[in-house]
Amino acid sequence: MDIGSSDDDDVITDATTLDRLPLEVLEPIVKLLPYKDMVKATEVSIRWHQIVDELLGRKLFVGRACQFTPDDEERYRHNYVPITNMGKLGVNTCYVGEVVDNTKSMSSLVYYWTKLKDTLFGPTLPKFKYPHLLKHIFFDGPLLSRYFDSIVRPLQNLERLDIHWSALCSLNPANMDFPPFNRLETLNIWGHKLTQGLFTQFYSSSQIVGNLLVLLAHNQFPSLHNLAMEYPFDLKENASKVTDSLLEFLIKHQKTITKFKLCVNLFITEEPNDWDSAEDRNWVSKAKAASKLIKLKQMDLNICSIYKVRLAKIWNAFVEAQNSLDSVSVMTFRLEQNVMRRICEQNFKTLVSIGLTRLVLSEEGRSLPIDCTVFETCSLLKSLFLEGIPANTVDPGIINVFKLPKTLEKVELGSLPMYIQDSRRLLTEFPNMRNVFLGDIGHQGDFGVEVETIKQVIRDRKITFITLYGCVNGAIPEDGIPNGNPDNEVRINVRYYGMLELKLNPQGYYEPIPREPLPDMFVDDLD
Amino acid sequence: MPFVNLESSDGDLVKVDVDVIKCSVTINALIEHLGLEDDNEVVPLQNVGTETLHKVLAWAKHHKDDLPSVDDDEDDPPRERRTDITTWDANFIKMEQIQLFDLILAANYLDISGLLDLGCKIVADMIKGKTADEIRTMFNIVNDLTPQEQEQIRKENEWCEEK
Repeated sequence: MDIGSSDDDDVITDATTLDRLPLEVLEPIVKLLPYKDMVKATEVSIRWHQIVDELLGRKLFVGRACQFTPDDEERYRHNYVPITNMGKLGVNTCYVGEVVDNTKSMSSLVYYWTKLKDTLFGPTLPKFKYPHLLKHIFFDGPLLSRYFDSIVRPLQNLERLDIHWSALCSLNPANMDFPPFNRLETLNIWGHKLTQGLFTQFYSSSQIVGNLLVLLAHNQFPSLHNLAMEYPFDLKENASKVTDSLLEFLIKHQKTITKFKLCVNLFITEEPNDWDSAEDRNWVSKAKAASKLIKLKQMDLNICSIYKVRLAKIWNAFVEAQNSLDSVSVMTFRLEQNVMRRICEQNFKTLVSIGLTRLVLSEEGRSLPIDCTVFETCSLLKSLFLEGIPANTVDPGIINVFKLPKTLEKVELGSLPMYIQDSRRLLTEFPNMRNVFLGDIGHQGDFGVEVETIKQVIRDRKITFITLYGCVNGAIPEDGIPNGNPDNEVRINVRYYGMLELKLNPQGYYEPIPREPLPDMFVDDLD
Repeated sequence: MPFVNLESSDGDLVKVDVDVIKCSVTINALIEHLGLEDDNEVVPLQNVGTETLHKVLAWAKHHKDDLPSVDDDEDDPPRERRTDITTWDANFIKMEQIQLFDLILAANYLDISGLLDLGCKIVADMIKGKTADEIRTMFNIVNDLTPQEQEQIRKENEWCEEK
């Protein structure tokens, strides 16, 4: 065969085959089939298998949609089916919402007051018919111990387990004695959708902490490499216990664990600012010692509340002791310059992605210049995300773009003042740059992005996505800036909220990113 | 009454009442875009053969006075929207498989949702109750799954077999 000859191209020329039909037509056809025939169709060919698998999702949503559902749009939108369906189907992925007895109707208030009582739930919960198929299970809502027990125990091929606080708080620790999950790679213990008020009303925080400690004490995840956890919202005197257990848990899984995400997101307990007691120093050295045993590739730390000084210190110390991270994200209120420096220095050979927010406060709470020389040595760096304190633009010149590695492909900077010459450099002189977001970097005097720079970017046609938020320095002509496309000229202009968003279209010219118009109420508020 | 000349991929010209072909979103858009005032203007349809074009027009003529479908309610799955096929449609759609596929492709290209729905429904009816092997034979589909893959998929589907 003559390679390269167009005669032998792999085009479907056989007029009799259904595979002539494009995906957009095949999909509605398959959708018309009864469920059973749909499943049967997966055995026809690779293409059919993919189409149907995607359509079916091979996912099951049982119970009822839970208001505590983690922020996963799909779960909100999806139809949850009665829990009894669980026993009939073989699925790879199951989301268990709130498990309630659908035959009883009651007001939501009564429901919450009584939800932990047996009477609300059905007497038995069906087991999965083919437990070996199940790879991922997500518990989104409260769940009684015996259900957890009967559902989870047989799932020996489980690869991912997500437990929401609302599920964990209703379990009986004595019943959580499950056999090892030899294939479990991802464990996610999460609850950030909760509000303190609702939670304290209906759930017992001591129960949550108790169950968490039991769970962490388990040595049942020999393959675990991805752990994500959020501290329970109301720790009181338990903060040390949870921290201790968590460190031990990490040490226990040191051989396998490579990704660790930790979140302290809610107002827990006010801690003293003078963290430098003997006990605190002891904690910090404990965290460092643990960290040295564990080689993480990815670490995300999110400590948002200003009161979590002690937890921030402990976990900052943990991050600082890592030395082969390729991705790090640290969002703590008091991230100091030296922490940032040490993270970069110790991981410069591997770091591809850095995200630091709420950063760089001096003792007086003022923002300090960011010394970008710390990033200079990270020769693999592709993605950089920095965020300062909103509305604090008094200290000029804090980003020295000249020092940023030229390997960067994606940069997101927020609430950090930036000189116009630096923004020009960032937008025009980085050969690999594809995605830039600049928000509140100033828009007057020497700060922000000049209109001339925007014109230059439009001429260069190199960056795929650009968002400039309230930082255009100078007036864009009323009818916008032409995008330069001789065939289809589009005028680029600032949109609502002072937002300028650009995206390269397939022809290689910029056009605004299409967006839903704002509801009227918001538009009114702008004036 | 305004007319438009459609040129099939075979190069044949067909003069059509604009009112008949208004069901095609594609042609409507073309007419609007080109601003066809002159009856001699030609709209080329590179993806539709003469034979298929005549079939499309026959269907469009019969359905020209149908009420416009209440516009796509996203929540309403297609299977509930169109449960029945009229006798006329059932007779109309009796054709060779090749022609049926051509018709579906044309309906898709011309964006005629009623005709596309009809074609999809007919094909779906043909698939119902068939085994994978029967589907492959009927529609001339090459089985590119390895025996191992087939075994794996069968295992995943096991639960559906019983009852």
